[in-house]
Amino acid sequence: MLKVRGIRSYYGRVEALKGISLEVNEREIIALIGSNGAGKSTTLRTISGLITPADGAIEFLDRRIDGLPPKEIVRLGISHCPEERKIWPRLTVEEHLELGAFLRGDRSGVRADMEQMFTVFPVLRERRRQLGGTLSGGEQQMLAIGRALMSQPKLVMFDEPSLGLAPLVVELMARIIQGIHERGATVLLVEQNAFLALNLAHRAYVLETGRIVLEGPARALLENEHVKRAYLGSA
Amino acid sequence: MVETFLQQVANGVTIGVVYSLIAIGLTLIFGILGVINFAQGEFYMLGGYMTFTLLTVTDLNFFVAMALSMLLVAALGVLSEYLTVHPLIGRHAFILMLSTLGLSIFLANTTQIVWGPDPQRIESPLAGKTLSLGGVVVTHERLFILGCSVASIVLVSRFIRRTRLGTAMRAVARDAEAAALMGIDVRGVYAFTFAFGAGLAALAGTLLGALFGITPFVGEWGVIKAFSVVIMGGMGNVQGAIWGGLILGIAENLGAGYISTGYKDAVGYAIIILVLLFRPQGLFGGRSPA
Repeated sequence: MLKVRGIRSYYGRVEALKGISLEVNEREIIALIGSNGAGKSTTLRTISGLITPADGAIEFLDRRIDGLPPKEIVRLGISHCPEERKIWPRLTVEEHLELGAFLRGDRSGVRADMEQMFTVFPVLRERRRQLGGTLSGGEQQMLAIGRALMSQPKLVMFDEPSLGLAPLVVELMARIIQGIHERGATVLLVEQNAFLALNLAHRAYVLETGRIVLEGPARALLENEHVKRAYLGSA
Repeated sequence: MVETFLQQVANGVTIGVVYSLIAIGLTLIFGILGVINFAQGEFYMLGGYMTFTLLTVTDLNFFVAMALSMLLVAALGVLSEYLTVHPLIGRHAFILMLSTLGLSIFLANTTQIVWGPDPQRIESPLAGKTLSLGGVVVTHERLFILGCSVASIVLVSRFIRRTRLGTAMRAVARDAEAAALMGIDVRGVYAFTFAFGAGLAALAGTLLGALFGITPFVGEWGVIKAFSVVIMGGMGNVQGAIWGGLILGIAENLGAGYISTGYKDAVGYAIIILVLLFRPQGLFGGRSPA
């Protein structure tokens, strides 16, 4: 479904991605793990068109998408739920969901999907007229996820959905991501919490300083000595 | 006594709402693009000249000419954004400021070459008629200015708060990258914001041009008034710009009426200085369109 081939991206003058290749098949959950600054977010930002890669190619559903503006990439069916949630503090919950569906013309479909989000996240229904800035961290993350789903994406990319959340809420996020997958979406998940990511994913890639150093089935990586030592905190 | 006071307030309100119109554009452009648009005053000035020219060379009526002038200047706003702001987005704020300052000088001088340095007067069909309300005299022209400005301000507020594009503008103002991830064309929103701001300033230019006349360099005056208002209302704050315009208009007229007409403009500067000293975020807080 998504094929990334040898992309190089710069963050200012720094080469943040030094030739990343990865593949996401339809209906898979793929995890991208690695420490801070390894290039995980830059990879997602390059896929969603916020950064144009200096080299390499990205294909989605057999179409080249590198170099396209974010708008076109959203339209093709990729949604990017960004790091730190990026909630607009002075927009209401409803306005967030409406903007999530910005490119959709079917007003009644959007209404129905919004109702659907409120069913999945009842707390958002309660707070529908509240400003984003007044929500708790967990509520903001739910809103960010709901907003990312409003474009009816085929592929959803999550950047650190567990960041800064209480353990119970992290578990809830994991169940939500699982649910999104069960309803038919493909998931590319970036996480520092390698344990969470490897337990959710089918396959995973390990990123270190802009390169992929390991890849394989998530279960195998859970048992891998290097992964255990570097990312799971066990010997 | 009371009549003089009310008369000054009435005069202040009619001018104040026009200040608000110019300032809304300035504050929106700042809030959304992070650019201080020095050419805002020239959009105001050109609004007046466009209406003047349309009335001179065609036999359109005043109101049609006014609307057409808004559209023409809005189109000029898009072109200006494309040429002087668009290529520099992401650069230091000073570079963008210099670029719009250059645009401002260019537009004022071009206007002087095309239309000459002499003041021009826009003929308004409402000129000369007055209305008296308990000792306060208001001309029909000022009533028209008031009605037209208030209607535009209400429409603009509603547009920004209620429509999809307005919501997108608020989203871009706060976090352009998150907006881009929703599929919002951020550059398109920038261009639209310029068109919007320029069109509102052009309306102000027609309204006040009919009252006071226009010259190629009146834009300087307009942008300084708008700056005072925006600093008072909070940079990027639309509601602040609306109320700030009214406060400045009233304060100036009271200053002129009770101190001396020579102090009229000084009131505006005094307000800027006081606000910057004691409440630099503005009376209504900063950076939150609507």
